[in-house]
Amino acid sequence: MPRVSVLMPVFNCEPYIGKAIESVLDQTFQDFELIVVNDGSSDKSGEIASSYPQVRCFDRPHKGIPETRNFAVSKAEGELITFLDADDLWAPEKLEHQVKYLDEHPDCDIIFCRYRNFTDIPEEEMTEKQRKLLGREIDKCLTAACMKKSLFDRIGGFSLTCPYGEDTEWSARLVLAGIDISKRLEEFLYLRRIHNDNITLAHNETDNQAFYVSLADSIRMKLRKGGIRK
Amino acid sequence: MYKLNDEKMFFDIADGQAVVINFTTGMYYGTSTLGSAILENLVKGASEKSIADILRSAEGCPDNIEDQLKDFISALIEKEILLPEAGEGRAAELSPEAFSEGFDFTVDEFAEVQDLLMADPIHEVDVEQGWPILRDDE
Repeated sequence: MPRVSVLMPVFNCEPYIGKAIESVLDQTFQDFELIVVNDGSSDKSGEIASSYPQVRCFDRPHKGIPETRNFAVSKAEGELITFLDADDLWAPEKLEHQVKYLDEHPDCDIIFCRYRNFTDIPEEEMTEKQRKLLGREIDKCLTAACMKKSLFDRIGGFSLTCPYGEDTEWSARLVLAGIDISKRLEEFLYLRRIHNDNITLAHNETDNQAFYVSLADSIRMKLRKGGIRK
Repeated sequence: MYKLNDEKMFFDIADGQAVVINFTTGMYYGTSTLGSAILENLVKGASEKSIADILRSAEGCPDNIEDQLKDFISALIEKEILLPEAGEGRAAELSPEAFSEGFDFTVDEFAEVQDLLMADPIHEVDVEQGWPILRDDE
């Protein structure tokens, strides 16, 4: 049984997925399995992933991120879980340092690390939006975390009703369940790629509504447990 | 009468429990069963007077219920959940279940998911384009 399951959902990420996989295979900590779930890509993402014999690949019809992530979790055999988006990269020590932290802090359920944005886009071709994003870091980026798989048994999987923001909703559920998500390694172990294909498209009003309905359900559960309902 | 400040607030009620999320600050709010029913009425445009009338007529109603209602509404306005609106408002409806857990109703404020809600997720879904997708307002 591997110690860590690395879960990589992918949808149409042909130019980058090879590098992402290699950054996992190059880890200094090697007791892991890498699971790639191809969410019905129309490009060669699935074929590229399958070309690595160390990768467990699953091909499925397109279902969207939350369901794909949940499927990946259901296939994970490791005690620890970590996600990597197929266009991003890891520093070689990411798993080693996060697993070490969790080993030394048995009460900790989830450990984050810092991440750095990067891009291959020439400076003169970058949009204002891309420049802004390059300099930005979110404190609790779920894909930069390594966590105990048991968290999914405790609070459930990603909400299928959230067309976007499913990682934020899931993280909020952790907080509402009283799980400490404050621990973060101050090393930059996750590299997030800014590229031309990830621009545009806003979520619409319906998507926003779905996100907040899902979050409100989790809050309601917490309020009841906390005795707010008098 | 009042209306939800929907430029800042998301309101949802299910199984008698109201939840309000301020999506501009990341704060969220809860209240009791009776508070939830009153808030739902206020959001739907019921008049303060008609709510007070129902409260007063309920068995076991405390003497200070109108002060309590005023304080409750003041708190909702102060927290920018409700906005005053012109008009008389419609008649309130409060089911007997609304009183099942007593007459207490205050607005409780929570901040523990604030950091998460204020940090917009970058990786988003588009079924045609692949992942990740940036929001337009990034």
